[in-house]
Amino acid sequence: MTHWYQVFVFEIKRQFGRKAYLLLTFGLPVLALVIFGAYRTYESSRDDRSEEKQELITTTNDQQIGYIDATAQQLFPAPETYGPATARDCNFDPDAPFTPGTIKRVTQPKCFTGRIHAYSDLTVGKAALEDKTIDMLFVVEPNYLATGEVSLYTEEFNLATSDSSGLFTDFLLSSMLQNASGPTYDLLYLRLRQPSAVTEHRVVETGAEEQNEDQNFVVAYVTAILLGMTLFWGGGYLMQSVVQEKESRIIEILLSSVPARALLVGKILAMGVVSVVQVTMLMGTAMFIGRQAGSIADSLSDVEIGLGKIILIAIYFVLGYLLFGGLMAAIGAMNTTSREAQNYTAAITLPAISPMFFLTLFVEEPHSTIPTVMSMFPMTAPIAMMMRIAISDVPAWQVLVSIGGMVVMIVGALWLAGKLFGVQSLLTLDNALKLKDLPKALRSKS
Amino acid sequence: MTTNSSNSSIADHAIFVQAITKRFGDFMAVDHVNFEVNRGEIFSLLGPNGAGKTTIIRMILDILRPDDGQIQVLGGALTDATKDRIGYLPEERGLYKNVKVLEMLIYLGQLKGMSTHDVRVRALDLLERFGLSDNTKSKISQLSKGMQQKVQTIATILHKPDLLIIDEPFSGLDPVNTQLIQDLLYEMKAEGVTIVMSTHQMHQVEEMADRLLMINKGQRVLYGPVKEVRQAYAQNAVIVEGEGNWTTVPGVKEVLAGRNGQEAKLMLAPGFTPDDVMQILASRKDYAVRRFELAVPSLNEIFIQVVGGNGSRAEARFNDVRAAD
Repeated sequence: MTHWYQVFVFEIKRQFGRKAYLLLTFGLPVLALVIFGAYRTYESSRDDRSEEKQELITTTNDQQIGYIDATAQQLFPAPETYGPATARDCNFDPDAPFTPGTIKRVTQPKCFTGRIHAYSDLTVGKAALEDKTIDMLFVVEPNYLATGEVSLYTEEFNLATSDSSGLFTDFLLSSMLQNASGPTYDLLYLRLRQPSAVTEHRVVETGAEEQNEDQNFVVAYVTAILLGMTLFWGGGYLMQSVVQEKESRIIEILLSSVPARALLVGKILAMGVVSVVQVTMLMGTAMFIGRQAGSIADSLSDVEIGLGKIILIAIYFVLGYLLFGGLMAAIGAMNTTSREAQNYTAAITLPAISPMFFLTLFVEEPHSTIPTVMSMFPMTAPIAMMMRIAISDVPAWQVLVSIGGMVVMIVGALWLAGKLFGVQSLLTLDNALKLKDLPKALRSKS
Repeated sequence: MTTNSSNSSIADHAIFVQAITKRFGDFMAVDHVNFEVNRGEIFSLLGPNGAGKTTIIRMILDILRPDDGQIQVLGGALTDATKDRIGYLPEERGLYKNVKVLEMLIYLGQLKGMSTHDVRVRALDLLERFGLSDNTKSKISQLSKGMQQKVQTIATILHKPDLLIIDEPFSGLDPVNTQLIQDLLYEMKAEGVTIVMSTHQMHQVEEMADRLLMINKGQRVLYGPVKEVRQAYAQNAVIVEGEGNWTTVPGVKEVLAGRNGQEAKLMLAPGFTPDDVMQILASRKDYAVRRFELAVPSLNEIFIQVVGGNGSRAEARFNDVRAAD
């Protein structure tokens, strides 16, 4: 089969020359990165305090906070009662060596002086709130030690309110730990601010442990989205490319030089590369921004997928694309315009993405009936099996059955596409091939 | 089969077609058609719309496979290497709209086995010859229909084919560009290129083609040298222009008015030949003859006569005449 490589190179060049493709693939990520960078620059210029200090004391605003200590033990004396808050005590130099007790020094209760004000009773506190001396008033209730109950009085809730609540919590924590030694304080302060980071280990019937469900969900979701997007875009581009051969009336010129199957192989491979580049750019940018923003770093930081699984996922990725690409190409060959062809695509994309409807089931019970059946049925196997592989160990026989079924269907899909793309493309230049005429068309000699 | 294949080897022919048949469901598109195209000739494929011409061309190019019959191209079965020696300009033709002219030509040249360098040099040369050297970086969509037609023609001959198959090569072209293409075809013929031309423009066939094949309803109805076909359809009549009473000429049984109002068509009586009449007119002083020619019908007239009548009978008649010769 000759000439497929020339078709492959030309189709890639042609696609990369399209403004819409360039805009979506490269323009959008660049725009997102620029916006994100600008936002980060704005954020950092707004607050000249070091990131390290912000991590030790939670605040990004200058709201004034009032509180009333109603506990019988008077657990939370006013900040100023701990002595004068000097810059030497409370300022944090990120360049200075970080020694034991540093956290205790910069977070000690007196350092909250000027931001947190103690009031004797609710009447006085409310008066201060009304005359805008303070922006919010906390009441540490008498039963605090038993229940942790704290009441908040404020005139309006906004993002700053939440931020200031964090600051008050830091004050409560440092007040209660003030008698601890420096190193112990440092450890407890940081730990108690984030008391737990739960990692679940599911014990299955075989006695093996499985991963955290949150991580599983993210991994399964990312895997499914990756293939789903590649299918939609790659398959869509392929279908469009096949239809365009007929719309532009170049098909007969090409077929006089290149066999239909070589033409098809070149196109399928090119559109696969084109869509992988697009998905990688978009997903990569999203992951980068998400990681920089801290939203997904925790979820994926300790995800471990072995090399064997990565290879299997890659195999399913390729097989899935070939299967759906072949079917999309066949749809393109049957129709005369892109709009007509779009009507048929749901018959392929719906089964393909249907495993995502059962995402929760895949995460919680990856070996139950529905995930197992879906991962072996060729039309649903690519996404279903990729999700199962990503989050659990799938029995080898199921993988073999699944791959075998897909290979058979891929051969059939490519044969169908090749058959329709050759002769039928010429015979249906002006009129789409009707489904009822499909068997007759496939029987014809070409 | 009325071919000369028995007397010559297949290798002598650019195309050798033997008893090919093609059905689409119940419709018989091509019905046991035989013909050969000699190397270096201009061969015309004629027939009304839907006669089966395009199906025959597609079978020659292996885009369609015949249900029955045999096709040899350039001395053998069609291979990828043979395809690279063929230039094809189909009737339903087009190019990618958003691709630049030179890129488009380089791609099509590469598909014919040319190197990028060679195809670029050749394409630039042809673009200049066709007056498109300023449009190498234009997108196809920016060109007029006539200019696109010229780019398509360039793409067809880019790789210097040994066999050129062109369907309606002059459609959409103005007289100047028609002449340009016509000159190009003559030039290629002179270089030994075999040209198969399918067209409805009969005067082009009369002027350019050496031989023709006429198809009607999937069957061969006429096949042979253009001159012989026309001669076979010639009536026992002459066309004259001049002065004199044509009805009194011995051997003339009827006088019909000519097409331009000045000429007259003299229908001859059985036993009289045009030579007899010419001798009579030359010997008489009361006739002044400015023009004297055989009443040979145009291909257009033959086409209408054959397609409108019984095709099989038409070929039988033509073959009878050839046999008598």
